[in-house]
Amino acid sequence: MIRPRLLLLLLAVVPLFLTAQSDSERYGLPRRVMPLEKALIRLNEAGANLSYRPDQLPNLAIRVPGGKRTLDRWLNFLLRDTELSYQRGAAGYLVLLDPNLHSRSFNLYGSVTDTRSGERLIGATVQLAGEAVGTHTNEYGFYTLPTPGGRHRLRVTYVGYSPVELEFVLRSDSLLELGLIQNRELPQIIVTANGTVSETGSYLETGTRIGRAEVAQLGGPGGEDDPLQLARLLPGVTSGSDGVGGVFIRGSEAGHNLILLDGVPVYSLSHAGGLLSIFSNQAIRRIDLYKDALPARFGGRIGGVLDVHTRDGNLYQNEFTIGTTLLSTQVAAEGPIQEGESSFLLTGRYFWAGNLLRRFSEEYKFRRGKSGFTDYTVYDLNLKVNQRAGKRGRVYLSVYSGLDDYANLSVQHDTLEPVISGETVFKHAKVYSRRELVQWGTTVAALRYNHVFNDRTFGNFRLSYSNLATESAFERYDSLTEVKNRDVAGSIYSGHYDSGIRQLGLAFDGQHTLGSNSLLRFGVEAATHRFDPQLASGKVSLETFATARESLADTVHRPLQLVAYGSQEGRLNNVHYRFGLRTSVWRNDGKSFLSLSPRALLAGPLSERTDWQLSYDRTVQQVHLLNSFIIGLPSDLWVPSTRSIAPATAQQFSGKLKHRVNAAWSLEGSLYYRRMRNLVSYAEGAQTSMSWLTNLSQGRGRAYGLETLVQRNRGKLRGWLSYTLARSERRFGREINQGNPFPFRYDRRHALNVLLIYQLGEHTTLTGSWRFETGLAYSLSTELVDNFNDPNGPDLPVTNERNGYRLKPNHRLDINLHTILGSKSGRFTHALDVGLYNAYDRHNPVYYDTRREWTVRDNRLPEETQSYLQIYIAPLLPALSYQLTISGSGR
Amino acid sequence: MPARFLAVIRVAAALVGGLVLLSCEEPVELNIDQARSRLVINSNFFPGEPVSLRISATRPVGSPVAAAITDAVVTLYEGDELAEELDYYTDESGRQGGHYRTQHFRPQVGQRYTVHVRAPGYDPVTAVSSIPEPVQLTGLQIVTLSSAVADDKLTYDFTLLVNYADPDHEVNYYDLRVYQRVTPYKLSDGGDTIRMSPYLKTVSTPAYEASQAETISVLLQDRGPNGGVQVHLRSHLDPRQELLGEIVAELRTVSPEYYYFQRSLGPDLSGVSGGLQEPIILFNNVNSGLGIFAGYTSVQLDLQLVASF
Repeated sequence: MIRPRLLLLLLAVVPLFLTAQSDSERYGLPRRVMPLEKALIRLNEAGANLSYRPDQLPNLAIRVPGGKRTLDRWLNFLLRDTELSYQRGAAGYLVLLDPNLHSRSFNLYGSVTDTRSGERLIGATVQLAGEAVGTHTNEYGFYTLPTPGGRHRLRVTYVGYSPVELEFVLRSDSLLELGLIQNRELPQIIVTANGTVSETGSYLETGTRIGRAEVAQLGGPGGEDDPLQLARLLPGVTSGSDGVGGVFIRGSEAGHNLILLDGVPVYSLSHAGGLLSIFSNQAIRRIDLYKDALPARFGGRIGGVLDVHTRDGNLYQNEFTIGTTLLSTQVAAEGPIQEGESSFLLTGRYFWAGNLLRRFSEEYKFRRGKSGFTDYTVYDLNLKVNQRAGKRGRVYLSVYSGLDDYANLSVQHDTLEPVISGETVFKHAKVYSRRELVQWGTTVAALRYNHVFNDRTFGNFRLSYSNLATESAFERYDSLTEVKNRDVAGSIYSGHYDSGIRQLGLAFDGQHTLGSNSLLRFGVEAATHRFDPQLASGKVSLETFATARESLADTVHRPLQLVAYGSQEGRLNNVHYRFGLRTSVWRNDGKSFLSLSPRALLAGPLSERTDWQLSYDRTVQQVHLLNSFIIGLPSDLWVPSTRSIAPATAQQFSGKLKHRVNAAWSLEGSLYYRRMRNLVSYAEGAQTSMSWLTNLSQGRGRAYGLETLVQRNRGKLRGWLSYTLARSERRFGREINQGNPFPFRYDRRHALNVLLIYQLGEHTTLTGSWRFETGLAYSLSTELVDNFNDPNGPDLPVTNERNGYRLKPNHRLDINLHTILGSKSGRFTHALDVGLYNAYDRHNPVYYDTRREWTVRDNRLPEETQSYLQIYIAPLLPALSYQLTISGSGR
Repeated sequence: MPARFLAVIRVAAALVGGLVLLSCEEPVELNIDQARSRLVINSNFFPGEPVSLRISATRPVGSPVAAAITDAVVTLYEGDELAEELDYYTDESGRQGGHYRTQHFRPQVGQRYTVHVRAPGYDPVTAVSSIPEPVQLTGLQIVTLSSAVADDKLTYDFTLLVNYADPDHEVNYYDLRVYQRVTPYKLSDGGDTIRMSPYLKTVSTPAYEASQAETISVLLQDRGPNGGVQVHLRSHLDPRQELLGEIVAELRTVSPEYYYFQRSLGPDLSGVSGGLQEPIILFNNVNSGLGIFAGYTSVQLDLQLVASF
């Protein structure tokens, strides 16, 4: 009984004792803002025994909360933003400079966001002003900056945003969320390689950034903003005329590019055969284009990388945008679901010009004696939702879906002049028929979770889905019938192409800061695929292939891919480095392919104004795009590496020098050499029949070139001039060009691009772009021979060399006036674009076609002749676009 | 105002759509130097049969059909010895004119043959080939078989396994051709079945519907991957007029020239759009000219696909 009573007594007495003791050591300060020195004087006046050197005290005004505290607590509070520490000795408290603070390293970490929308900014520069320490935010807006302790000035910059500088004293690992305010007045840089001379830590950012604001200034056909229009103005990037065929980076093929939409591979990037890309500028935050020095996290393709990031949606205020161009109507809605915590973004485009097309095409064909129509339906949708998940995480769900549905029917009947032979009259009926049906749709979805594990480690988990389904069919029918005797001459040819590729993946991507100069990036991926390529063709009607799908059901392949990668980057004296390795296992058809892809990047300053960069990349591609036609149509089949088709590989050596003449002007020169192995292509003539698997040829290629760029990125007139001298060749087995080397179709020997943006007013720009490129390498037949197999068959065209003829050079001038008008309240924003696409009406050939004609001369039987036709896409087109954005109240 | 704006947009869009539609193709003059016309040889020769050549010439695209070359001098050599000068024969049918043929000379297996052709207005041309040793067919087997009737047409879908005695340690080239023997018939007024002469009809594959003028042909180098060759085929019949006989496999042992030329010839793409598809670059063994001069031998084997009617 005694013990419990004793315990209760102690519990009652001890707090009283403690209170009495602390009361005797508590000192009071008034509630006001006062200099640090004055606060210390006040404490001494209140009885504290403090010693300090006044000359070591920073000139700092402190908002003192007032009240009584112990001396330790006051000193911790007053000295927290200084480099001072204190010691308690026999003679009292001594305030002195912290002797260990500068030698200790801490981590600053957090994210950089747009203050107004909460959008995370990718590639924002976070650096210590005046010190050679800096970093960039990663693809998720996250940064880690190893920093020595002490007082620093932190500078945060991002293109199109006002820079922010803040001063702080770092005494421990600190989470620092940074916000930037968009500068709508004068964006300083248009499109830039991320590595600029002045920014420490940017040497290893090797992508070229394309932002949506710059894309909007450039405009596009019919007023459609398209990020790829801008990408094609960069040195080393080209395409077919008016974008047909896709994007070609440094001599590689369209199917060699890794296109990522929020980290998920996309297998088709074009609407309307390439005239427009699937990337709606309203949904896109930015695109990073990589030509070399690829980070190890990118793989699975041997060409360049287009890393597309969509916007998150405004976290603080609702916005609704509606707009139209001459081709489509666009709608976008975004806003917070829970302010500051979650948001959504929904955008959609519907190409209503397709509806007009049908009516006009019917009239057009009727006027030319044909019946039929052309119909085209195009739309795409983007949805993104993000939600904060705890203090350290965020969840993102993004979905893209788009469809192209094209049909063209054309039938023409004609009668040739009667031929009189003796007393016999021959009358011939000519029938010309064309039927083309093409449909392709892409669906991409990603569920991602970002997590900040600690001040050094960040990770992203991703569950992804990508699907491309294409179906196309064509039928060509030409006949000449002698009416009386029903003697028919002519040909019919049809084809049916069907392809599906589906990918389901799970991935983790992490980064860990090792020290002040060292960063580790690592990840693993697993993906299952389903390929279902099918094709059938023949000299029969299209209906013959109605049951082709069922009969070829055994063509499905289901490969599995496992990937692991890691890279380390850092700095050794003045040399910045990144070494990486990517390993992948591809298993299909009972066979596994193990691939290693080492990467190396060295870069640094050569002088105060000049930077250098050297890189080596080995890449491996396990999926192959088989071009059924020369211009890259949806009938192209994606096929996997199988037992008999090894993955394609490429090695690229690249070097770059960049010189900053002054704050506005810079010069850049790059050299590259790329070697490709195990490229896959249809054997000649095999693209029209039989199984894809047994009609392929594997070959090699090489591409090399010089890219130069002069850029002005400040002032009222901004832009660049680039010139590229390049060569790209291929050599396959005897099935293609009889085994002889030949130029790649998009081997643009010379390319000159000019982009000029003139700032007419605070919110108005006038943009002009001009491009000139060597004509496409084309396999042209200029001779005919008698049919070898069928003495009565049609003549055969003879082509002596693959891609041995050059089409006309490709050049075009585009002009666009872009202006933004805002209401006084700021609730309404109008964006208007007026321009001309292909201002001087250049007819850039996509390819040459031949047309068979039957003519009657001198009362003789009809003779067949052929003539050349130039096929081109876009003549002079007006561009007009208007967008109204309504903003709700918010921050 | 909005209505007027929409009307402007609508008219402008119609203009864009119209321009795109109206302006997508136009005649073009290439302004290229036309290559000099070359002699073209087309000849596959077989042991014990006369050597026959069709001779024509290349001509520019867009030009009318050229007149037949009837005045060429064609000489054939066996080894280094003159074998015979070929005579010209006019063909009654066909639009390619006649052909040149040996009267007495018959080629043999294992000899090297050289043909020289010269004709007024053309550079003389020459070509060399030989006839390889024949390789025997050792077996035919139906691996899978199914049938279906649609639109009054009977279709047999079958996989044919073909084995042949490919010699080891040497490179051989083959052309495997498959046909179906068909007997046309009709019913007399009295109800009797009148059978007519059987003929070889073309077969198709599931992915390629061959016309009657075509032949399903598989070009092979040495033995197939599993000791033989499996071919998935389809036979189409009109059961009201045709009776299916045997499936006939013809194995041609061919010279390399024959193999590479036929492979480069590929499917007949003459009806396909000339511009959109990659053309075939023809193999050519005619010096200074174009075409093929190649020898081959042939053996046949047949197999009843279904029980006799």
